Amino acid sequence: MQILIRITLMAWRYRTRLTLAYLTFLVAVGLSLLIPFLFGISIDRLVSVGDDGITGKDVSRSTLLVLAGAILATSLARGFFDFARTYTVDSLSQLVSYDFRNQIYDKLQHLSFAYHDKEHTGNLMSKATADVEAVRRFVNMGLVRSLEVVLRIIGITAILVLIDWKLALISLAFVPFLVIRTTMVMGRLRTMWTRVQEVMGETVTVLQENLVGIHVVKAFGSEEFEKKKFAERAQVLRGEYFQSERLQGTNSAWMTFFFTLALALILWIGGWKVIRGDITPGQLTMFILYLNQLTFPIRMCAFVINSFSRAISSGKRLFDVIDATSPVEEKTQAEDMGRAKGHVSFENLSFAYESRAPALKHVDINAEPGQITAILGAPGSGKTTIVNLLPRFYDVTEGRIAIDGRDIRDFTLASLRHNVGIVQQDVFLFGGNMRDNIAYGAVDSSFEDIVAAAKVAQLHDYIMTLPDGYDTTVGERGATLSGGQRQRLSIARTILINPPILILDDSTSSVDVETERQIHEAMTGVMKGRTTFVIAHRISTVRDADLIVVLKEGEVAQQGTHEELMARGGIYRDIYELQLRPQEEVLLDAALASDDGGDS
Amino acid sequence: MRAAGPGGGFGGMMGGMRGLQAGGINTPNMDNLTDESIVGKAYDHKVVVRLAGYIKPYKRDVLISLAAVLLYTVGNVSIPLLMMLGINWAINAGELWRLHVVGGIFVGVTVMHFLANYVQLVYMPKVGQGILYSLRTAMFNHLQTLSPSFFHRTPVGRIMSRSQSDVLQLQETFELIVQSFSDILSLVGIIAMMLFIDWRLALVSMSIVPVLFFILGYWQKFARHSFMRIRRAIAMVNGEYNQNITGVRVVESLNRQDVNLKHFDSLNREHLDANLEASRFSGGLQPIVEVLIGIGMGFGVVLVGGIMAQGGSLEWGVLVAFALWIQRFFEPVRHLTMQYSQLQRAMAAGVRIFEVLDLKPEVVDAEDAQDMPAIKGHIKYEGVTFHYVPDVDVLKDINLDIKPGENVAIVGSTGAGKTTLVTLLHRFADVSEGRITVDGFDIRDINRQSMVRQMSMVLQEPYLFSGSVSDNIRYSSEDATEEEVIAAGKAVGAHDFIMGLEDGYDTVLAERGVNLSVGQRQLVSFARAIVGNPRLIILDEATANIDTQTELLIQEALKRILVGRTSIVIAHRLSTIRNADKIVVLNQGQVAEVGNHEDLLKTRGVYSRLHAVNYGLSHPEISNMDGGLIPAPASDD
Repeated sequence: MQILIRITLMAWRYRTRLTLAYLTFLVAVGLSLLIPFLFGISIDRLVSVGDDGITGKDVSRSTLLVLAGAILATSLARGFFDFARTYTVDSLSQLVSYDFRNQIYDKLQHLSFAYHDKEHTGNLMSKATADVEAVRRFVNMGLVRSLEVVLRIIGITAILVLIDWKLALISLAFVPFLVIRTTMVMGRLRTMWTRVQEVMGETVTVLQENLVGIHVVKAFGSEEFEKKKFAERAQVLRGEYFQSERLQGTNSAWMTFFFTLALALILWIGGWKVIRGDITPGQLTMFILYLNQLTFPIRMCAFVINSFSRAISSGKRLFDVIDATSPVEEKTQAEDMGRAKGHVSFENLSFAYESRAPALKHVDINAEPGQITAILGAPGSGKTTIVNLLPRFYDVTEGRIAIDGRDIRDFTLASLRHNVGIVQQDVFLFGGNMRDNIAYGAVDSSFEDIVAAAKVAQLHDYIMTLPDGYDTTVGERGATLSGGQRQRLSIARTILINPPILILDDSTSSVDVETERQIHEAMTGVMKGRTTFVIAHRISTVRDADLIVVLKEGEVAQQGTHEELMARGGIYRDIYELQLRPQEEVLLDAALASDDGGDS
Repeated sequence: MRAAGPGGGFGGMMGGMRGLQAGGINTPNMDNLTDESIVGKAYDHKVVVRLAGYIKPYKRDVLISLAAVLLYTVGNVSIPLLMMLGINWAINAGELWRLHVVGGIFVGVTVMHFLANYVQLVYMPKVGQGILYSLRTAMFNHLQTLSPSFFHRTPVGRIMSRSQSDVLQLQETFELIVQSFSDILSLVGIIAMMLFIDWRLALVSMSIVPVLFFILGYWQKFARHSFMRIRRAIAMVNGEYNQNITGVRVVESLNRQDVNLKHFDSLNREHLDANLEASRFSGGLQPIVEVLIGIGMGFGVVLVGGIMAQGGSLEWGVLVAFALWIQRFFEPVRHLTMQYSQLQRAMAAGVRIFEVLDLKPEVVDAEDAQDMPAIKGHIKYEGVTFHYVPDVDVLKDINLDIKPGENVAIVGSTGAGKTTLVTLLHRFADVSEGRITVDGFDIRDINRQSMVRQMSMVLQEPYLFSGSVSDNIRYSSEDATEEEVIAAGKAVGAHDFIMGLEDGYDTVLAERGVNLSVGQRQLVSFARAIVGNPRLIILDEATANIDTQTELLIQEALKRILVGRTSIVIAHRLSTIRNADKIVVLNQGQVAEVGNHEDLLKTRGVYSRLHAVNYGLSHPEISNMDGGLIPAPASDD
């Protein structure tokens, strides 16, 4: 119920339209009730009840003309108001769904990473499509039409009771039964629809994962397994879908049944009454036509009820997003950070992802402006977590992170993130051209700046080989970039934003040696003059660093310069001996080999 | 739908394909699929015939629902007739017994009408859902047969929309056709009844109908235009929405929210406008019908009928029946108009679906393909040439002989054809010339599934499915026991971190496993690769995302695992392949050098040059970025 009220409040923003919708449908309903009445009067003018049954009687043509004209005029007026009503209701429902779409879209791009870690894309997609549509139908059907249905039923009942209350009672006896039945069906349909949506979401997820991971499927020859997995979901979906459609169908069939039965009873009992002289033939005609008019609202009932139950489940899913509180919230009195000098300190910092063991424990790191800090550690030791905390993608559980001595939670998120640039490990391309993709974080950049950034990022030469240079479309329908190119694109993006603080991931994944050299140059270029945190995998990065932090199971195992740590011994020296030194030895080998080659 | 770019979300897929089309440009038409915005005919015979194939299994149910529709329509049309009979034959005559007869018949018809309606409402969705199920699975199953290059060319969003919304729409076709059948039946029935009862009054009351058809024809044109505009608009809205969710991490870190919202709002606004335009047209239809009913009732039944009744040639029961029929007449007309555009949509959806179903898989098993016996691991490339487009060879005349148990490394720069070389072995595509043999069998002569199940591959970007860690490790061999899963986890050094997760091996992963780090995902994909005890392992730059410490652990593990198995490793870190039995250097699709580490360094060819670049060595042929200095050895030792 609360959900329906909230949807109504969304519609209330367009109260003029809403009021207009109610007014026009009131007039339209009133006019439509007039037509059977006029038709009944015409019949009574045409026939009279005598002792020897019913016979025709004389009536002037002008009377007939007036009655026919009245019916026509009423129909015309009704048509006009019907149009006005349909348009206002349609546009109202479209406006509400427009608002919902914008709201959901904006909310999602403000929710923290913790939220997106849990939500599947397929699920969020179905919220934006199916659920918004269900809410739109509710505004159209449930909010306005439901009242029309109720009013029509009440209006017709009132008129029939006035004509002959006994006959009205007999022919309308089914209405309360119908109301109780449909209320029950409404409850059951609601749970069924939630279930259908769930299963649909699961099916879409299986499909999407299969398509995106088709290489894995092919590589392992798991096509049969995948087919089975999908068929199972599809089978469940089919069953659930059918269950709800059957319930809906059964309900609709019963409704039509009672309506038709009432028509039969009117003819039977009403005819008896006409023969006895209790009512006129015209009144019997009115009964028949009014009941016929009930067909529409009764049919609508099924849709209206359906729209209610779907709106409750869909509305809940939408409001779940809208109401989701981001664990990362801006303080009300948050300040703009301006341009930071770049002094970053992690102070006794601890962090745990929701309900999991702490990922970081009591971490202290102090980075001076312009300093390069290399972070080393095994997977899961908390390297990525550290860099996710700095731009506040998550908030620390304990302790604090300070930039230039002030807690980062005192600043606005936008100004903080302007100061902290990230060269992402997972580089994402957006539809559009190369130029827009580079300027993604700095929309107002001049073309010269974009080219300059691309040059520092060692991407310019590649772009110039593309058919349309910087205007070449990238993404699914355009140029594909290799991993190394994407990483350099990410570097170019960051250079353009020109942040004083920088986070880099040097896992130069899947590139050949020459590309790797280009990336290294790009990285050296971008680090200049910025406080940099590097998740380091390579010896060159580690050697360049002013400070080396070694993480182990979420704790700082060691930190210091290369010389200090080597002298001290311990985990860093082990890592160095185990992995970094072999690289140097290989290097010596190569040098020797090439010298040999040179000599011979 | 123009969904997300090849980064992030679809990284797994694009990454694996890199070698196949390195840095290439895709033109929009490369995916072999026609444009989505095409609207079809209202009746496309080919589509209906194909669809009929899916209806066949439900023949009995279809016949039942058709019979029910027929009975239901008969009931609908005969109700006004019963009214007339009751009034004229019983009430007018004042004969009570006649009234009881008609009343009894009426109740009987009502019950029949109800039963027919019930059967129709239950059987139609039953068939509909059955068709939907068959289409969905047919589509999915067919997609499994297509080669990876198809998925490289075709955006996932487009395939998704074909297998989701298009299938839903095509399923409607069945119900639409049945409903149209029922509506046409009603129309014919009503007209026949009216003409039969009084042809003069029938003609007068229906004289307005041609006007209706004229208006409807005109309306169709606008409806079509409106519908296409809405369709385009909603595709843009959903595409942008999808992209923003997939790329949300970038959006947030680059503060793009305001710009993006503005852009989204403009797309959303266009969608709103398109819908408002449509509702101005569709909202006009109902009032027109009402006015026409008014004309039919007012001038037809009341005026003309009244005059005729006065002349004594008509009884008033006829007037009541006509009033009811006229109202019932417009209902099916309105349905049919709506069904017309729905049918157009459904047919267009059908064309798109069957287009996908008709795509020929590039790699098909030969009819007499035999199952691969247990693989020993002797692989031979004999004069293998491969191209997508004739004359643009990705691989040229490759000859390789890999002995059972040999550990082969492949190196080369981007675009050299490394990934293509190894994926050909998996038959992601078939060779253009020459042949590849495994244990002497040409791989095109054997059942692909039976061979691939004995091999395994680790792609450069680890892709995990949702489900638990253990489900993922078990992916290649579903019947692996828990012990085997744990053993695999231990063998690749993933056991410790997995046990540190909330529920150990039963921990449920988020979409694509994003709650694990890239390195952890890679470890899981390693475990997945070895759990089935494959005879042949291919590693495609698979250690790139793992930190050196973990990589070292994996190297150790792999050394053990690879014993007795044939393995092919693509790696850029030359340190990881020093122990390979054989190193193959690829250059522009050709084998440049083959030999072991020491041999190749001595030859001072491509390998030695690559080697030098990798370690920032001074080398006569290249300028060095680090200034050409060999780093000083560590201070101690």
